[in-house]
Amino acid sequence: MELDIDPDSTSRRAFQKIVAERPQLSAYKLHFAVNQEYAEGGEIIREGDELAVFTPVSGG
Amino acid sequence: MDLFELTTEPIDIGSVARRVVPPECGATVTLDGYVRKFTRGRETLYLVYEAYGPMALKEMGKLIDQARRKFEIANVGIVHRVGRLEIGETSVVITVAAPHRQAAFEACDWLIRELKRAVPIWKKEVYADGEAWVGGEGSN
Repeated sequence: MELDIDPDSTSRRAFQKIVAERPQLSAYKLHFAVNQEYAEGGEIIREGDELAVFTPVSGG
Repeated sequence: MDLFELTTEPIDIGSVARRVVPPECGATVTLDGYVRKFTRGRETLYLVYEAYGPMALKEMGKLIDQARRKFEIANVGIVHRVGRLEIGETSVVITVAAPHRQAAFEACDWLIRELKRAVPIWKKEVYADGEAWVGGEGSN
């Protein structure tokens, strides 16, 4: 899906928007990734970046 | 050579080990993680694993690089299966080759713990009377 955000938004800002628009996510502990790397919060999000929100992992 | 893969096919444990062994090494330690029938006293019928594939592979590669900085090891192989797995089937294999066994044991233990903490793969336990996605390191 696509996300409209202000130019030069940080990943923190982008994920806050994603979560705010989907209240059902607040029931979970969440992890965030930008372009398949765990997000630090300060990354600047650019057009075409891949953002992911997921619950704690349980592989193995 | 290292290897890290996701597969929907049964894993041949021995072949994972053979593919990473360099001649200068004296030992490989291989972890075979498989589907357990009882978890927290509840009987599991089967498991379903899903991965965020591209990121899972990147994270596996990073873990191997970190392990090589922390331990005196040579090559690492990690193969994780996804999809439906029956009781007793192998879900993950981690093989570490090293000149001496102690480093291989330590690195293998570190790698499975880090994999369970950081690699985006999830498992759903299916029981006779329901199912549940398992949430995070330490819960199993």
